[in-house]
Amino acid sequence: MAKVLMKGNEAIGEAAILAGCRFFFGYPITPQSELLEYMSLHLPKAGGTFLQAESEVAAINMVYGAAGCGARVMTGSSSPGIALKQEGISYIAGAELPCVIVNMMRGGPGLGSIQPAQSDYNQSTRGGGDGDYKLLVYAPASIQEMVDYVQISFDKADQYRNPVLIAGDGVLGQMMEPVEFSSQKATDLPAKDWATTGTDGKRAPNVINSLYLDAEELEKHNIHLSEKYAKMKENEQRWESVGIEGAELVIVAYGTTARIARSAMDNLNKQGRKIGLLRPITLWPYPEKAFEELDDATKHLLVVEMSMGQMIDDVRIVNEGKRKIDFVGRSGGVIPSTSLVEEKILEILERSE
Amino acid sequence: MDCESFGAKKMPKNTSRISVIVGHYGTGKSEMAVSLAMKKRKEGRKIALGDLDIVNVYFRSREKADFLEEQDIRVVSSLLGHRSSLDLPAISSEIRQYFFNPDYDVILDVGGDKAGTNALVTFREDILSVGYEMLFTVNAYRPQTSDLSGLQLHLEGIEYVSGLKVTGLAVTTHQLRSTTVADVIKGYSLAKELSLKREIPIRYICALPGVLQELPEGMEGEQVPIGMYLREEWM
Repeated sequence: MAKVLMKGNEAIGEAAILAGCRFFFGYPITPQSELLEYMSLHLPKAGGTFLQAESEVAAINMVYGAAGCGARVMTGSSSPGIALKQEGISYIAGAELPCVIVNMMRGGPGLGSIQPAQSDYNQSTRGGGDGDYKLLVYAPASIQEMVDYVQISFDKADQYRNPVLIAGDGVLGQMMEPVEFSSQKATDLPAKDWATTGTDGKRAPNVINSLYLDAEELEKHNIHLSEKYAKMKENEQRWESVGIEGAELVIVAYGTTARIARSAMDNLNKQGRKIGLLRPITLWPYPEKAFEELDDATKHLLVVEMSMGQMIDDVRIVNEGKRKIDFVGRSGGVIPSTSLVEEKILEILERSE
Repeated sequence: MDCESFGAKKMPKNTSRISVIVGHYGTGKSEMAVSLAMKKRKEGRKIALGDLDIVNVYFRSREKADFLEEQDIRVVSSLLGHRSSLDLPAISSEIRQYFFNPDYDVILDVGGDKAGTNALVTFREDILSVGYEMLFTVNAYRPQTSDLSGLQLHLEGIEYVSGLKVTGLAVTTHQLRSTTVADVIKGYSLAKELSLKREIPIRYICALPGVLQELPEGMEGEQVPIGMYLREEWM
């Protein structure tokens, strides 16, 4: 299929339909409303159901229902909307149901702004809802990668019976890039024998539930979930590293910010510096293994985020005090400039010389 | 303003001091508007750029207001200023004064699709009275405008809502920084089909300067070098 020009939000919609998503429930919010618009126009043509719910809370509970029936289902929103969905997300994770949630992040806290941000890192990776649960969180950095990860997200959601979050931002949702839809589908997914599709009187009913009246039963369930998360941690870490060999400083950044960091890195390397980039693609599980690849020559890590600094905590955990960690970022909907990142790098390197 | 001008759908007078840029969203209207403003300014014209996009707050020409004002191009957008976070249907009436000032060329960057075109309606009578050209962008890589029927659907919708006629086509087919001559010719061929079908001339070919230089001779339409003003270097 030839490349077409699509906005991130539209491309996610198309990729979801191609991945077999047949239900979408959502509520519009800038900067991800085009995902709803796209789904409202195209999902019915594919035999699917689009429904604009009365609220984000209603939408996520509709996702809960469709996922319980074994359908491929998606919802999307932006930061404050995703905050509203947290209760439902926790229920879905507790009931071990597969679904894909898209967050095109905008400035916060509260109603915040409608400009891009990455300040839902903690909400995404720490769980905004209650209980011991984890989401598999992907942070693509281009429209093409976002398209590819929509397919992966649906497959991984089914494989682990777990909600998957695609963490984008306003830039990725609104930006236009050429894309190709040629993602490989997983072929070895488990049968959804847990789905509530009717017993035909031939088997005991399947039950979708996150309520446990017996504390020890719930603890057993939590231990089971933890074991599942441990498997995800072992098998699902993804990252991209560029020029880290012999780098004096490695930038750690994801999504849109990684693109800005990459530009800054290229500019400085042209001037004879040795800067590398480590780009987490999974925010949870955090790509700890990537940090094992870092060179002894690397004395500094610079975390760049469109927030006041949230992922930096994970970098601190993984770093175990080995390297000096600095931070630069903008928040509230302000996009950091390449020159801001370059200046910060030079300041760090000059300080240590 | 003469009383004749109040008739709807009147064919424009033979002047193109007002250039109205319309089309399907994401086809390259704002990038074209800014690049056309730069081109006309370099040719010595006084320019007022009216950003009428009240549909989508991202990637609007007003984002480049500071840069454009440095080039002595007047940018008019919301009456509350150019701030990109203002998601309000508020357009400054200041743009009207440039419609009636013969020293100025006016470029109107209209929001995408029929929805975006609604904002144009409030200025229709003024635009009709002064005369205008309305340019419809043709981007063959946008899925909804990649064939003749898709283009016609959008063109008709925009004409219906605006009460104005599309008078020229603008080829804005691209693949960002990797655009080739073949990409532009693909867009041009599609625009030519539309041009023949609707009897609307191809008015502009918009592309990266390097690509424009390589285009074959004899293509219809004036060249507009695209400056990629709305894309940061990392995009």
